[in-house]
Amino acid sequence: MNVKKSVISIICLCFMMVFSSTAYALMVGLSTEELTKGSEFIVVGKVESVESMWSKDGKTIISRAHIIINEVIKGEQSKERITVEYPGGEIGDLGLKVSDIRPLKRGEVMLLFLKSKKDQKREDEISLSMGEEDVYQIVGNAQGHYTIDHQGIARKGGFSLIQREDATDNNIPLNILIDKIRGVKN
Amino acid sequence: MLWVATVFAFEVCRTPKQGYEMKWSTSSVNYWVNTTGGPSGSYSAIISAMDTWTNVNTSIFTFTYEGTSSIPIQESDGKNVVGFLSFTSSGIDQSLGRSNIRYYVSTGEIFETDIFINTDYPLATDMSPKAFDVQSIVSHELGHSLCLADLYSTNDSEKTMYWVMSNGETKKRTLDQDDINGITYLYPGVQTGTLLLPIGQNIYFYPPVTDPVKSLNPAMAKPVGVGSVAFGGYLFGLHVALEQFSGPADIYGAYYLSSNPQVIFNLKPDLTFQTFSTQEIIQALSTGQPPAGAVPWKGSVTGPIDEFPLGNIPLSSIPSGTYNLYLLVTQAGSLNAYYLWNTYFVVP
Repeated sequence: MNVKKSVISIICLCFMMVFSSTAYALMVGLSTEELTKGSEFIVVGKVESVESMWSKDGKTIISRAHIIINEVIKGEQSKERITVEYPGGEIGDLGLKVSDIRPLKRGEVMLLFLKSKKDQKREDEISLSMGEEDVYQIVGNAQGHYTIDHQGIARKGGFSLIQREDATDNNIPLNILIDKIRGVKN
Repeated sequence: MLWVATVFAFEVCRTPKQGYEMKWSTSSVNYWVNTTGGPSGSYSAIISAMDTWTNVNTSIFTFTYEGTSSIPIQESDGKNVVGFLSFTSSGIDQSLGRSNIRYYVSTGEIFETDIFINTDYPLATDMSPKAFDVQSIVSHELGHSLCLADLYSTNDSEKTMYWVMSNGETKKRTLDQDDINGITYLYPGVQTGTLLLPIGQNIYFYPPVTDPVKSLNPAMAKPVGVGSVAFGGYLFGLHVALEQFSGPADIYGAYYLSSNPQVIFNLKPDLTFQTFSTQEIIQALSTGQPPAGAVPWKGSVTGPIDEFPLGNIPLSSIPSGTYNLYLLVTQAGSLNAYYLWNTYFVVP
């Protein structure tokens, strides 16, 4: 019997479970090249705040995360802040969880593949004073959302795949991911 | 001595801020089926997927169907709907299926879910190898509506909640034991009787929970809750709950700090702690005899147990660190056989 070994195993399991994430959808896998080509803007940044609100038609909840940009990998270099919009969120006592969306969390550092919402406006969306050109959505829903941990590893989750699980980059050092993105020829 | 560490693969979803488990408060949920846009046989495929989950005999949960309907699936209208949708025209990209789960923030109680299947992909109900199987998709998505999450390990590849699905694949139609464990955990069947005293050495680990979960199945029980610290709150509130035992049992509660794993703190009946070295505990578990002077928190009791022995303690009054908590239930007077539950909490 090796109690120490068991305790260590349990502690390791604790660690793994703390850093695991849950997910709720079936999606087509996108490679880094596909994500890059599908993005207007790719940034590394930190979530400053998140607010949820009702859509314009009052039928659904959406959230907007305000991001402080640390590094622009692709796109306009001059932006310091952007807003990312996604369905789901909490307002008062009502919550909406959307299966293939991984909500952004305040303080989270992440790499995001983004496209502008200016061409995506639909009836159910809100209209704020902010220009739509400043609002982005994540490409491929949760697939374009990498969380960067304190060791500089980029991880994604919050979705499941139909086929092509080997095509996606996950648990990859951030600098290598950035190099792969910059190596994609548009 | 054989150590059996039981860790579940199934994952449940939680509210993002408070971390409450999300689940239905009712044991029966009605679904409408909107087959518009789906392949022939969709209604039967969807009903079969519902029946698959309903037929788990260790869970009281049942899906019932109201019939076909033209109810839109994307609206919050108090009706649960499974249906088909072109995602491209709806501004959703890349997903084969999506579930909208509506819940109360204050409790995590789900009050409506809608499931939609993307008609932009080839769909079939006849096991066509070139199309995606509707029954498999709905079985998987219904798991989400229960609030089970995807599983990523290749060890889980045979399970309905595994994260990858291929065209022509139909194995998600059939639940794996772990899928069954998941629905049983969230919606356990009506159980009567007592928690049988241990006959072997059984170790169960689970991540921190706010409140304990009682179960007659020790593998399903989470007998130690830690209060709001479980999900970023500012209070540690030890809460211990166990079902009635089949005979007299001793209950030990202990903890150690990750920064000092050589010292084990054992909870005494007067709610003070006595310390032992890790070596003493190892020897006790090896010989089946408690360390000299060790007393259980509760000796020779039959339960049920439901206590907050330490009340709520602000984290500001607790030294920083990771606290590893153990609850050990043994046959009274012996350590030869036991249930040992392990969880933890972190004080920043």
